[in-house]
Amino acid sequence: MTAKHSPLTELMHAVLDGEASAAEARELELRLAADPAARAEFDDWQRLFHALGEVAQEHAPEGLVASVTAALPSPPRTAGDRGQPFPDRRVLGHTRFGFPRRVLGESRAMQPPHVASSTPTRSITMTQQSRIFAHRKAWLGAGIVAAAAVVVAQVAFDFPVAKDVVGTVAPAERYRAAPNGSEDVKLGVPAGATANSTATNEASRAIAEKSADLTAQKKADLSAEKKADLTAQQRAELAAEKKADLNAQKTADLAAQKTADLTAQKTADLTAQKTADRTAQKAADMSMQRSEAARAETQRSMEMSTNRTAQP
Amino acid sequence: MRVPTFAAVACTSDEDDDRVLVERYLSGDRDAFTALVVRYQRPIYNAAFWVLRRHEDAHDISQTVFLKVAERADEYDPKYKFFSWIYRIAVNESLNLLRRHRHEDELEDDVEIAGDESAGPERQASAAQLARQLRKAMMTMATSDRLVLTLRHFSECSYEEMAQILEIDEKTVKSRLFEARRRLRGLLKDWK
Repeated sequence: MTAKHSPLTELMHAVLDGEASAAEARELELRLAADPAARAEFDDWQRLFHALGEVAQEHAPEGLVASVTAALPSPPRTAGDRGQPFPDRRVLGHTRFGFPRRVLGESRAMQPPHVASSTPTRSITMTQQSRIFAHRKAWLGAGIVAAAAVVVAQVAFDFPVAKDVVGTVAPAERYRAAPNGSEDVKLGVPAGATANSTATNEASRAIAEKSADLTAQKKADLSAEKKADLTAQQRAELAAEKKADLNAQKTADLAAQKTADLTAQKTADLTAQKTADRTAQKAADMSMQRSEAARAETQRSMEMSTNRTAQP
Repeated sequence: MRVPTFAAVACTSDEDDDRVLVERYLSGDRDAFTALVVRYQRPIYNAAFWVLRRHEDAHDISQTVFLKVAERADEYDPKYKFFSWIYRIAVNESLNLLRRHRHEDELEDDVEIAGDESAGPERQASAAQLARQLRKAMMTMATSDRLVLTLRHFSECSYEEMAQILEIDEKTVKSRLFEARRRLRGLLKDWK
């Protein structure tokens, strides 16, 4: 039920809240000067306001900053980044905050937010991303090498089509050219007679040599590329590790700073409390002493009065 | 002019500085966000604690609030004050948790908080003693009362700021504050 409150009381609250204008404050002063009851009420409210300002506040728990920092996701992407074709929400085992649920303790800390968010999440760390990227590169490289090997084999080796082969499963048979016999060697015959076969052999040799060169070149390229990838990955991992170390150091420094602040604050609170208690105790003692003195005085007066009455 | 009474008071913090820190975080500086957490951890924790009245819940909510803010930092509209935004998230999250747990008790009209009758009158009147009684009395009050008293007296928010955080008009803020104070004074047996 809502109690009625007068405009004067409202004005008192506005002044005590620091929300009244100078004119309103002046008006209140005038009214309080003319009305002792209103002055008493104002003093009463003022005491309550002052006491509310003295209510001790809770200290934030130790480790809150560290736990938040540790679970901090990467900064949200700006509007221009949102058209990414493969959002990383396909990564399993991550929450919409980009950290495992256990970070927040029980599942109740991870209830759905009351405001819908359109921001896509980043669920994997930069280190994980760089590793995945490195794996992709390795697979792509291997694929390219395999395809190149097939092409080279087709170009370099001219396999004859086997005759009378039925079906696809047939005993492997190595192609062998018929060896040259003594009848093929004719002494004194001009070189031009064997020109055709010699040219064929030389062409085959040239193709084989070229193929070997190409393969060696590709192997060298692949090795260099792999080495470069590894170096880049190592560099990225080192940088990430260094950054993580730095962050951990900063978190630790902050925690230490907070602990120090907390201790200082607690000490100050304790000191203030002790001082206040001591002052109150002194006031109480003084009051008691005064009461004792007054009682003694009264007792003395009564005795004197009794003595006077007893005298003839 | 309002004077902050305890460290890291949210409603009196440097608003421009907050905006700069948010911008720095959005451009990839995680330390900027850590600075925001350090600045607001106490007021946010206190806001959650005074709504939930349980340290464990206040801790969980504080963590959730900061992570939610980090996740949605790009949704922050700089034309509003940062603390109003983060406070609104904290208040809503706390109230949501309260609804889910349903451990909020209704306030009894005749609840009175006993003063320390064994002490002398001066001792009872001491500010520290009174503050302790007030704290105890506030713990028995309804959530809406605790909320407005916390925002005004502990976080030192103005009527306008409270209206932004609670998403109500200023007139309602004044009325709720007045009623909460009246009920609080009624709970203090030895007030007079």
